[in-house]
Amino acid sequence: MFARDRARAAELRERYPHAAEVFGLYLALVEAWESVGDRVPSDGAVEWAHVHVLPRVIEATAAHGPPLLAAAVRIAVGNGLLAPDARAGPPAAAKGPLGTAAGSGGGPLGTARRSAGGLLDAWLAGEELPPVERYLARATMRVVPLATPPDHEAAGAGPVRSDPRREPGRCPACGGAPQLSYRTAGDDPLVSGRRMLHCARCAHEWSFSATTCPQCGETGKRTVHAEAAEESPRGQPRVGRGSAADDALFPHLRAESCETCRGYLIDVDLGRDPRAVPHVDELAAIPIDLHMADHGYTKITPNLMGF
Amino acid sequence: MDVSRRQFLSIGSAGVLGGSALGFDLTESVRIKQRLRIEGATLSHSLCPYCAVGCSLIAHTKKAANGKTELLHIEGDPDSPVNEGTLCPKGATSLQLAVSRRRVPHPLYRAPGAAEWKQVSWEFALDRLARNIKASRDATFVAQDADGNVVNRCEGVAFAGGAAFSSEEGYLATKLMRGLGLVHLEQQARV
Repeated sequence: MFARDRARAAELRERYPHAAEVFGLYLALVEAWESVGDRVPSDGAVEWAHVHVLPRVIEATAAHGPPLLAAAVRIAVGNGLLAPDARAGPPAAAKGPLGTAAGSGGGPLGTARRSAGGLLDAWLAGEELPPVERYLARATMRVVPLATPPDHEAAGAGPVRSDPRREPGRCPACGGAPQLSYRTAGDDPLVSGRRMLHCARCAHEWSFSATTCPQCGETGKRTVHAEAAEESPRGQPRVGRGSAADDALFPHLRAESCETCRGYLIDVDLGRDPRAVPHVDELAAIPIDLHMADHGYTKITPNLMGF
Repeated sequence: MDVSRRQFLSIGSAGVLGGSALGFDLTESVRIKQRLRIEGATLSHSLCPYCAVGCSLIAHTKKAANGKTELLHIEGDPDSPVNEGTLCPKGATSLQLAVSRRRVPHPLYRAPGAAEWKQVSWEFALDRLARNIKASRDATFVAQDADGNVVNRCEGVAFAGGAAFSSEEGYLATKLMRGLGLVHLEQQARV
């Protein structure tokens, strides 16, 4: 399930030393996800993630995260700050075969957790979380399918569907914001690939207009920020297919911004690098993120590592 | 001091971790950012001028230091229901309508019998064109056909309009050629 992620992250760790720390942690998380990936229950997945995934994510972060993040998580665990909700798990009588709560989150235990403001529930509810909490929640929920949020469905509201007329760039499956965009690869260089968006919340991918801002819907003021040709005296960015140079550091990565809302997304061009895994490659674009921040743009959604 | 889980992590993210929000070392990334030359290009919609299909294009432009807008790249618009991101080889090179290193920036003339082209002025070229058109027209003008019908037509000159013509240019060309009596008129968009 995560073989491509693992292989690509290992490759990019070698290629981009500036992001070695990020990919080191990502690879550790992949290990954690793979260890539980095929055991995710179809119901009560969030409670199950509390018990089985979050501890592994904490472990991986403490062992392979940057020193300050690892220390913060270790201290948090040591102080029991993450323990009550995350690790206690449901009482034995309420547990299913995989340690899940009986029922799909609607039982007394699940209710108690939500009311206690558990980390994952807070993230699922769309609360604004501090970066470390957001990281832990996202890393934990990576293996939990969210296209039909269990709480929402249990409430009888049916699957969450965004209205594309009112929220142009929201995920049609869960209503989440896009994490990144990428261009599909084509065999023919005369064909421009479709633009796809990748949901930050449920990892769903959907086709979206190539010239519309996913945040505000603006169609007229789009800018692509790309590396300029070294030999070009006029500083022309290398845009479009087939124009990447050998000396480009990020030949397949660029930022797409909206001049109306000042939001941007990293765009991965699979036409230039068909082996790219968009949500992994996007983690390498830290210098581009810093450049965009310097110029007053804000990423629509920070990625898992907070960039 | 008792702190809640939320308080602890908030303190961590804001004050203790520093650098990136999660404490990643950004030294090397900042160094790369400083030497990375990132430029912006504006996206605009356009249409391919070459044929009647009307393929949708996305043009990338950049405002140069001298204030002029430079065309950097043209590609098919994947959102278009007409071409779905596809361009024919000719449409894919439509950038060269505006920008081409191989474009000849001045008129060239090769005199009858000469082997070499020589650079001439626009006045010379336009005057020469007009004289040749007039000479060809006069030499091949047909006032009456074989049955004695008055036709007043020029059969010795043909005209092909370019597909890059706007409607106004096409109208003007047709008016001019009809005025000269041409009957062989064609338009590349139909080819």
